[in-house]
Amino acid sequence: MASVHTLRQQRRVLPGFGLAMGVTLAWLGLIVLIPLAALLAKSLGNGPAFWWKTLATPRVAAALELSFFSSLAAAAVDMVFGLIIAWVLVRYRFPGRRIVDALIDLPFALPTAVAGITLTALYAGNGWLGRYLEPLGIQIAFTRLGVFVALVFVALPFIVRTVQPVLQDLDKEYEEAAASLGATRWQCFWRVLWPALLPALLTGFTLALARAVGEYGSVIFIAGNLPMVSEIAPLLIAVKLEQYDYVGAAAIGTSMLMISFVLLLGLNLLQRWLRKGRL
Amino acid sequence: MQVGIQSLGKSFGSTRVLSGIELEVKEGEFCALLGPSGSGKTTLLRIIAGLEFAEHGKVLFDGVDVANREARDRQVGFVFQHYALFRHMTVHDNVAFGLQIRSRAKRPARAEIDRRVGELLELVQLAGFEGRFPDQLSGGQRQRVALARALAIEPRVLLLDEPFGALDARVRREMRSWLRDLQRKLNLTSILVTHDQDEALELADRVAVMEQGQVLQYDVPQQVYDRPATPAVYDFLGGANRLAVRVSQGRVLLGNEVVAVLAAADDAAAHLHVRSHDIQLLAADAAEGLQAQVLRATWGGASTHYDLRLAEGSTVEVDQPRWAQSGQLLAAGDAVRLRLERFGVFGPVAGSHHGITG
Repeated sequence: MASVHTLRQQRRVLPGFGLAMGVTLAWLGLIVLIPLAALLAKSLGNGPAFWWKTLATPRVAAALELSFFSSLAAAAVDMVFGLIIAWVLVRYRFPGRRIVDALIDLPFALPTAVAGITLTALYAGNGWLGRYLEPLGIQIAFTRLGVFVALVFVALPFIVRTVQPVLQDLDKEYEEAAASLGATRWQCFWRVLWPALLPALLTGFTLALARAVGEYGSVIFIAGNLPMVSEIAPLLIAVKLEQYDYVGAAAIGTSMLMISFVLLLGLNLLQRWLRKGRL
Repeated sequence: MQVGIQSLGKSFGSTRVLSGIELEVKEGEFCALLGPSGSGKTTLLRIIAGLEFAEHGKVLFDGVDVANREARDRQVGFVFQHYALFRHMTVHDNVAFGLQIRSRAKRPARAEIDRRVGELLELVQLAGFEGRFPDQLSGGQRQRVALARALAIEPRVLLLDEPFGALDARVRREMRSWLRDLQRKLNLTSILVTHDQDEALELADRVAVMEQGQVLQYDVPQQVYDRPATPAVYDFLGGANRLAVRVSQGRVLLGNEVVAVLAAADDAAAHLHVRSHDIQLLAADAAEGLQAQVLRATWGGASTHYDLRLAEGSTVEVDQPRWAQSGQLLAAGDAVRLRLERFGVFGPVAGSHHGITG
């Protein structure tokens, strides 16, 4: 009797929880978990000691360091400027706004190799921008700075597109309420807007970071790929593959996976903590 | 505090939203700005708060023009229709916000802030809700938190923008009488914006009826209701019937029948306004009254609504209270007679006349 009752209660307008959950698990397994498991298995193919030995070489360590630090830096910079761009697009009406809005998506759509070649041409010593920057002692192409510039480019849309809808929903009333209570402009932003935007900003940061860590195409053209200097981890994987060192490539892959996982988990926990009390 | 508005005007682009506004709200008075949407009442309230700025005119707080002062320097308590509570803050932090952001010299000590927040939450009957978040409260509770937050800064004037608009009918009625008591207790000058005439008449000491950016009438509720200054006020307050009449030698003629006699009036065409519940239905064989025929009867609980056609052709709506109904309801086609109990006559020459027959 009791079980019949609970079954009745669980009826929904849209049925199909069982089917949907089944598809979800099957799809996740097929598309995400099986490849990851295969990667992990492959990387440990020659034993944990080999795995560690691969990672502990200075060249791999430098590549991992470059990949993650430049990705974090790019995501952080995009967070600031992405927020400003989203703010301008949402809060102001100006001629050409729609065009600017459409431009934001270009880094999404452009083949990454095209982006990389374009950036290289711009920032090389004889490029449009490079010819003015190099006399000032700022060399971007074929340096670590170039890696950073390319990552900033590809990660920007993630911040803008996640913050934009939240800003749109954030009624002007909140600022007005704060102002009528005596808040200065800075207090309005720092105490009212910033906390409301932070969860979306963090989501954007997470996506931008994930994209930047995995980016390959645009970076390899501008970076110059000097070992120990401007060689990113994904490139090193490709190098290992060309040398038929499949286990070594898989080892770098799993290490990136683990670092990414820890970073994303941390960001997720931070976000959950920020959302406390909200439904 | 006393609030004064003098010859205030405002446009959005080429649309005039307010023109020639004159208003005087006395110390401790509760004023309602009543009007349909688009009448400019919210814009006026926002100008008083400093959230919007007028092109010309004065906003006087105790005689001092504050028209150019920013909202944060005006010390007004503003309550929004959709509460505008800070969702990432607890109820305590929401209420304390206005105190916590003060510069160090003016900020009360932490214990003092906590004490004031506790007091205010008690005042709005939400003691013990300090740790909740806005999302965990009902609409009525959120609006009371918003009120406590506005009161925390000890405002010189309380401004309420359709504060009950988003609440359901029962909660709205409760909040209404509660707010009126609270306002009297605090003796705080308050201005309320509403499109609900019952709310305005019940709450306010004085009601300003607004339409198309102008104040049509500003008076105590009874005067506004019983002696509307213009046809538009009549239309807005209590959905009145509007009948074309002729005034001749002081007699108001509807068709060929004399509906009323005015003390003094010039001969002219005019309009007679009469509310649906100010008309009494008489039997068809009564000795007096306008002859009419029932077009439609709609039973509605407290009163029955009739659509009638007068002998001279125009249609009239009548609400008959339940106590006045005897025996069977009238049906379409039945003949009746009508007596107009209270009405107003407006004409280009005649000006306005208000009458009570009988």
